[in-house]
Amino acid sequence: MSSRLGTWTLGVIGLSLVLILLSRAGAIDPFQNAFLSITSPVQHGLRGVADPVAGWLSNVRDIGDVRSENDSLRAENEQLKNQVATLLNSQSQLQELQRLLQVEQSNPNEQYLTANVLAKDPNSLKEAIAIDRGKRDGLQEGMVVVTEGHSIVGTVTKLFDSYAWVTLVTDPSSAISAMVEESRAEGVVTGSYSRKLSIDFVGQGAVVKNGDTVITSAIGGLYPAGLVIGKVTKVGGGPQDLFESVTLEPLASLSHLETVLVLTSFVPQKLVAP
Amino acid sequence: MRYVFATLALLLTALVQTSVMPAFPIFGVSPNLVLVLLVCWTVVRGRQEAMVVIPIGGLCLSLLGSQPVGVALLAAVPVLLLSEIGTLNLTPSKLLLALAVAFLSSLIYEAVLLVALRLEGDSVGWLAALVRVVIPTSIVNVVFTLPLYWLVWLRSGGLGKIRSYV
Repeated sequence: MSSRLGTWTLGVIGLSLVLILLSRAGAIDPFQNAFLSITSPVQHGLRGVADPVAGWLSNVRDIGDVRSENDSLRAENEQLKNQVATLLNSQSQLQELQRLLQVEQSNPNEQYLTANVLAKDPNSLKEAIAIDRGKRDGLQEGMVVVTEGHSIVGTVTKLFDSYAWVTLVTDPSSAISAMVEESRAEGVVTGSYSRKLSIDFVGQGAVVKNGDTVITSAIGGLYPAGLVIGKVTKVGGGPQDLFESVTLEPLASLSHLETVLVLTSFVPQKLVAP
Repeated sequence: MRYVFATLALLLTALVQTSVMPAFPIFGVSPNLVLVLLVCWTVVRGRQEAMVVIPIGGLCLSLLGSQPVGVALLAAVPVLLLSEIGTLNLTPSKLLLALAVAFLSSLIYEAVLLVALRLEGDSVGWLAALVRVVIPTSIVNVVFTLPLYWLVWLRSGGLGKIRSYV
């Protein structure tokens, strides 16, 4: 190795380490915020071109499944209409009972802030998106981000003045206290490098089947209860296994997000065992 | 002037990588276009220019990513060191060298990012990351090396060489 190459290598490694230290101390955040501000119109434009093309390609790929999906959606629609009717009836009964008992609702005014998705982390090992809301908009680290259909997307993990990074639920570092809506079986939903979700620590005796809905539970204080995470796609595990092996698919289409909602009325709390 | 062009090309490539490529995943991963462009630039145009464009590319990736600024720059350093294999004349063509360097650089780049994630406190499944992300990304990067190498080669007077043959 020539001395010039050696000097360059040491210089760039030194510069990298200095930048990492400054970045961890937050000293580079204003520059990063400014860089995202300058580049965000270009990113918006590029996404505006790419998303319709990706959507079209996805439709072409899935065209064979459309007929069977249509049939199953019709059946599901009918089933859901029946459920809506039943739920409306239950809701009015509940409201009447709440009025009689003077019970306060737990979340009477959930507040959301709409945000546009700017970019995805260029690192394939990290599942994170950048949104155009930040400290100035009142965002805090740990706030929960959902889709317009209110299924969970992830949590705010890094904040700048006008932008924020949201780590997606599919990221390998993500872990959410959850329960299966139908059987109330509890577990922890974790992400993976395959971009699929799994529920860990579901006991062998729990009743979990394909198509079941998995929602957040409030255990741990990091997520509000009742947000939809996904649908169970595979249940396995041998009789000698301590826990069921449950795989699920996120309900939100996380690779094609354009707009998301930040749940600003819920501030996560770190609960400590007594 | 050539470095202004290089900066703009790397910036545009980084923006395409963060806003367009995630919509078109291949084997569940997206190519690291900036890294591939740095490899092609280094192999085609040599060490002197590489010493300038590699820090620029690394900074572009750092500023558009969620990890601390500087991590991507650190991970891109091996591009130049691996390209020095070319001085040993081990490969018959520069294109083969670019493909080999793209594969090896990608492996090292992803490994550095994994270590950085671990140091940041993330849980890292080494084997799963290797099988699901690191190797697929390296292969996809090699595939994308072909068109980008061709573009950089054309920009570096390749068209003139073709004309002189004709």
